[in-house]
Amino acid sequence: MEFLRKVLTIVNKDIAAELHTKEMISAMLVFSVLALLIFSFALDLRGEMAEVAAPGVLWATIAFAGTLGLSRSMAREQQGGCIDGLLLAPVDRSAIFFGKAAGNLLFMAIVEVILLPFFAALFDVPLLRPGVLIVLVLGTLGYAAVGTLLAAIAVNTRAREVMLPVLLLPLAVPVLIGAVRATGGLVEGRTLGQVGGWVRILVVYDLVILAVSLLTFGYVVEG
Amino acid sequence: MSIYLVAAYGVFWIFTLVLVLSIWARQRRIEQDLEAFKDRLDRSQVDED
Amino acid sequence: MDNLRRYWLGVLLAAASGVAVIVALGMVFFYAPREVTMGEVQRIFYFHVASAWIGFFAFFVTFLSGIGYLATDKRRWDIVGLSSVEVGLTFITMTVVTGALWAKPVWGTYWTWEPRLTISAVQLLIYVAYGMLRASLDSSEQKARFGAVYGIVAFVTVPLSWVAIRWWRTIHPDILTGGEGMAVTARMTQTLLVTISAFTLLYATLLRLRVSLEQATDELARLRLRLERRSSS
Repeated sequence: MEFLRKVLTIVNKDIAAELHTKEMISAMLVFSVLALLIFSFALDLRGEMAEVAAPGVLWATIAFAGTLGLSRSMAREQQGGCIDGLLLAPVDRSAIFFGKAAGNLLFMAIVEVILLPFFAALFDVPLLRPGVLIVLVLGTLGYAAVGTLLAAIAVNTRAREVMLPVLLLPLAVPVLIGAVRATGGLVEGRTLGQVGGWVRILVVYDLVILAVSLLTFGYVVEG
Repeated sequence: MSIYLVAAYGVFWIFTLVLVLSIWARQRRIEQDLEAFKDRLDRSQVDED
Repeated sequence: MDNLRRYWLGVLLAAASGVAVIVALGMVFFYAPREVTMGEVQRIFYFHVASAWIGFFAFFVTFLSGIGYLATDKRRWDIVGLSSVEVGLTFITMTVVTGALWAKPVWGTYWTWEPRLTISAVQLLIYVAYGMLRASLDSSEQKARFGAVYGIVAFVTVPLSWVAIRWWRTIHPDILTGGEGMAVTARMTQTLLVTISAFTLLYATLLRLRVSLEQATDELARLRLRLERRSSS
């Protein structure tokens, strides 16, 4: 429970910081809407085309908006000098990781929750189903976890924010394929069981990524 | 014989050669620098004595 | 004497790879049969698949080196890791290019979202990302540490990406590519195995070459440091 308390402290800190300015979530939202607009122009998303493309456009948008949030969240950490403070305190490295990752997951989830009905209406696609929400959570979880680890690395580079998408996206292929395929199937009317294969990929990915991130995060923030 | 077949095997040889030559060129550069630095080190040692 | 032995071992390895590659080439063009549906172009397959194997194996080596480095903090692990990336990148690029050159005459387009080709492209991007990461860092300690972590995390996603891509392409096969569509015979399998063995020897040779370059670079840095200390004192 001590561990959980530490994790929640970190999450609360991030929430408080964001509540102050709301700049990160608003930027992610505005970016998502703009991305949606650009996809619509670029792919001429109307009628049938829209239905087919909807899951892909949704997850592409989530992926790109996500990198914004992940970079910003880690940059804030560095600017505030909080990371050094956290490291000096007797806090388990894994608590720091869980705290940051949970915060990132939360912010991405907030953006997605706002975005989803908007998407559903625009594409005229039944996205507001429990199955889709489950896939959303599973996909975002893995993405946020590996994103947190890589953002912690990227923030040390000369290129900073620009480095994160380069590092993250090749590693997010299982999430993107799994989530898009699962969402697509669900939207077509299949049950969660029928898209179970894709969901299983997401679950395995989440477990593997969480394990590896926990094991290596300490090495990223030390020194 | 198909041009694609020739090109594909050409690619193998070219890529391998480029890698080997690149490593060899860098190695030569380093060895030249190493020689120069060793000389300077010896000379500075002589100066000290 | 150890250095001399190492040198001759290197020469032996290089010679062995040279011979093995020539033998493989011979088998590809004279031993392997002419494939029924694709014709002569199908012979690209052997070097294409072999380079793919090495392209991925090299990253496995980087993965192990990453663990080694984090566990021991010894530079030698890092040297192997980064050297394997450079060699692996060469092989995986070969895979992608030969894949495109094979696809064009057989399926009419340079790029098919064929599973092996797609995962090779992903691996290529991972290699590039690794290189860019190291290039964007200033201290060699950070390059080694972050490189190790990225190598480890990236590697574990590759099998998952492979599965995901495979399923994606099986359930949605392209109208253009129905799948491999090759009639495989025993001779072809033998040729492939010989080619993969030859490439493995070649990989080992190139890896050693790259490693000794890095060791020389380290020696230069050490010398430079000694000189600076001497001049400042």
